[in-house]
Amino acid sequence: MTNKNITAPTSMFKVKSRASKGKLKERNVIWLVLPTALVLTTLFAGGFIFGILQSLGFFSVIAGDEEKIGFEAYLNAFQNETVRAGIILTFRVAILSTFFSTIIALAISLMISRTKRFQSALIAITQFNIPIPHVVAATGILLTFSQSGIISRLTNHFGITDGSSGFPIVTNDPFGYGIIMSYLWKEVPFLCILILSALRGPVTNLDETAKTLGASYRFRLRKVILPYIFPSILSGTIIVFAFSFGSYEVPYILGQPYPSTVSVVAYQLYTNRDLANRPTAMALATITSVVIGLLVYAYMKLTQQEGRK
Amino acid sequence: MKFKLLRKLLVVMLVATIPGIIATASSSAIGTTTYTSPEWKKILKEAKGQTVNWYMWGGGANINTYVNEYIGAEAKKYGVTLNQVKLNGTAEAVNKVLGEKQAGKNTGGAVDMIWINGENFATGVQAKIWYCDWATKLPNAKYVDWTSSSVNSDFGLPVNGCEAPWATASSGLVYDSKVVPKSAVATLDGFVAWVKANPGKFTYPAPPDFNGSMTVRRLFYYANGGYSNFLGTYDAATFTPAMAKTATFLNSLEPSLWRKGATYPANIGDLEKLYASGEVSAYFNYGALSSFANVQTGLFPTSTRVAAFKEGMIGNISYVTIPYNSPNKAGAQVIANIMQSPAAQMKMQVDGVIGSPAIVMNKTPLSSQYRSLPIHPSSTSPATLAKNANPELTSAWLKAIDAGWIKDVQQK
Amino acid sequence: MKVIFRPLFLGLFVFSVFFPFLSIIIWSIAAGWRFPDLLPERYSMRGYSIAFDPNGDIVRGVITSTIIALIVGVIATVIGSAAGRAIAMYNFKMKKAFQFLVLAPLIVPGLAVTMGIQILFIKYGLSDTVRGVILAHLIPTVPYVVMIMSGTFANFDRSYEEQGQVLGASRLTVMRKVTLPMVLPGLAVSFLFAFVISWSEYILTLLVGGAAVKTLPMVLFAFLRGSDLTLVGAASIVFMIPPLILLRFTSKHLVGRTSSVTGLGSV
Repeated sequence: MTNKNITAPTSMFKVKSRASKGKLKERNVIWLVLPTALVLTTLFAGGFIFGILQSLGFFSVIAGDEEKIGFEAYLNAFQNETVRAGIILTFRVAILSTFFSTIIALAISLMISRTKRFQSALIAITQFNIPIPHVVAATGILLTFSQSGIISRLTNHFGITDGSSGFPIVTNDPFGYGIIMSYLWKEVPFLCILILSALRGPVTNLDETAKTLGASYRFRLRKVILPYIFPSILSGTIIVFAFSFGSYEVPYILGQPYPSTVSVVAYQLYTNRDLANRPTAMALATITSVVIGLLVYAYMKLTQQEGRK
Repeated sequence: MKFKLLRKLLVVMLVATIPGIIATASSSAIGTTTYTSPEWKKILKEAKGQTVNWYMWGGGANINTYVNEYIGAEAKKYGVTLNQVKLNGTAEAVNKVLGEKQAGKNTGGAVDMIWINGENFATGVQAKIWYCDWATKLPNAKYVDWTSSSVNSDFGLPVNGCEAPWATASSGLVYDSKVVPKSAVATLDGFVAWVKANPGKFTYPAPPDFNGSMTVRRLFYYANGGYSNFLGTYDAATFTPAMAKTATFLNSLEPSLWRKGATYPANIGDLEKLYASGEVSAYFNYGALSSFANVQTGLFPTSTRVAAFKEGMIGNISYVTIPYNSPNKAGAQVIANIMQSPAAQMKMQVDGVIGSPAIVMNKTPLSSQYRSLPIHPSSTSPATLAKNANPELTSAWLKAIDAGWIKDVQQK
Repeated sequence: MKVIFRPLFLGLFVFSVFFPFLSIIIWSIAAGWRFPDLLPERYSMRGYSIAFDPNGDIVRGVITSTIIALIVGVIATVIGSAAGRAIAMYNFKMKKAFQFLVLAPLIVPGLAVTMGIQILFIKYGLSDTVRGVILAHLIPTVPYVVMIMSGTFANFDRSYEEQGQVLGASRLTVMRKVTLPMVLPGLAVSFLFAFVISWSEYILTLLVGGAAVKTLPMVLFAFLRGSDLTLVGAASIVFMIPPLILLRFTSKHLVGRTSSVTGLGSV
């Protein structure tokens, strides 16, 4: 049974159809759900809860510390200069990368969808970075933009900069430029394929209809296309933000020893020789998760209101 | 008839013990009691078929080649398989054993051997996670000078047979002679003056990186006119003004460092990348004697040289230790013994692996061969670096100096 | 002005996709590359001969990473597809809670979870083992599969399955001959994501495998902490190849008419 001919046209109409068919009730659904539920409950929920417990002082490594159950680790975390500086840096880097990668990906996706020639080539190129591991991405950015990187050598050769120290510092820098660039390089393509997929869907029909009715591109963009692909953008932004906030490899390679992002700081605390730092590491990890969760929730609430307008 | 047989038996038994007596007699002549021959035979038998998981810092290409190819091959001759586990930092292995102890895993641990010294060793001593009473008993321990304080005390802490010496690391200044003149590296005074006059070419990794910590320590001695005040147990009253002096000096040096001291390389690997690409032209390194290996591969310029200041450089000995819960203690001891053999120790220096031997080469059959080893132009002799050697301080001082640097220099 | 804007922007985009690879490639064949040289003075294949040494770390890293990523990919795709079907096509008790459970790993950093679970892994002998690493890798991968496949199944027309059943085929046959071919694009994309995430995973492997499980990211990270950029370059190139090969086979499903990536668009 070939699906290419049958599914393609009908799927465009079928999107709404499951709503009309209604969801099914079946006893056997538990077998579909059980393996995933088991894996995620034991590993994910279990790990997360154990982390919280350890942050409160349970399972202490230091013998005789059993009485120290409480929020001391959280106090330590907030009083720790490295943690505070790390939180500020992480926010900055995550918000800027998410914002710019979304805008750039949206622009590029719209441009690609409007380009007739080379469209499949462009789509193929967009996908190229997706399977590239983040460690390699960070390495590429480092070797390209460091003061002795390839761009610096070019600008030095043409007399634009003087020596390696004359090149601006954008890797292992206090602002986080290198980290942001690495995130952009990986996240723009990811968001592009989300948006491009959404643009390929039923919205093309609506867009065609609007076009024949004489609507300008600007109008169609605002009233038809953007509202339709909005869920994909929202979803992608959330995934990208959460990743940028919690990533370890990229800030480690492209950041500084101090300040470093929360995941790097948490790992350093966890593996610190002074075992009293372990609960603090767990506290930081819990704080990070809560912060991301709250931000995502606020973001969704905000954009849902916007969407209703 | 019976008595004749009995007498013969007694004579045979007596004669059989003579080699044993000679063995113990000769080993106690150097001051250690090695394993008796049957004891060592038992260890060899137990070791056959074991796989030893040796956890060590994995950032040195030469070290990895030497360990995996040479030591691994030698170990195979005894039926022992060596599995090198590369770490980002020794603390990871210590943490792992600590974690296992926390989880109650007192047998069948994942770690069989750790390349270690200083603070990491001290942490383990405190937590009681080392297997002891073996290091002085290895057959090749007869070449180790256990009477020397630089051997029997690790950063001020008594070794107590819990770790076996592997290599001597005398730090040196690695520099590019095309950029830094020879006159500037004769004394630390002269070098500091050169750095101030030629900004951006020198830096050090941020503590707690091992080499960064050493550089800060050496400059701590420099800012305080020497190390004599700090050789005993840690004393906050002595430390605070000394740290203040050091911070003032280091902060005054910052504008002349790479990136004006706004940031420091995260570890020695990052610093060597900077040296390899030419961004910096000088740095302190415990592994100074292995820099020539990078010249041979073309990574470092051929104008690379190694120098020791007249005021002396910091040096130490690094060891291998066996965790209390290792299931392969016999195999680990066999490997530790191989590492201490004169052939292995000499090859270590020849291949530019770590530094120089930890055993007394003069007492070995390879003594004359060792004395006539050629020195690569981008290296120097261990004796040069060891002249006027500055000692290490105890862990408490180290922790305090590292923390003081982070607070008063990095975070400012 | 407007005419050149789009080609310029897109041209810039294409350039920025490929440009960072240039320095990696050059370093991988350089025998030393001092500043300010535009190109290395001498070239050498030392990096690649070390990389392809059958007894070397990189080859072993490739083997370990491939085995782990394949197993993770298969397990995640199988159990995630089942869950995706359930979410898209059925209503059941605790469905909202289940959806939350599936999405949460995308929000909570993997580091937080793995640090928390490490003590249990040590106790149950899962730390420092390949199977422990495989389990840990399921945490970030299964959610992606569930989302992608719930998107696929949302566009799925049950009537084909029903027709099959009406015509007398068993459930298994229906699944094999009707369902599977229709959701194959989604499965392909799911497997791609799960494989790539597992292949690239560093910090989870470090915490659970504890440097004893030598995946390729661990090897590359170790080289990055050393001073040998030639080796870093060669290892990076080797690191990129298998995922790119996988992309080659699944790329037509990533952005297509029946695109399943839309599933990711319904968080």
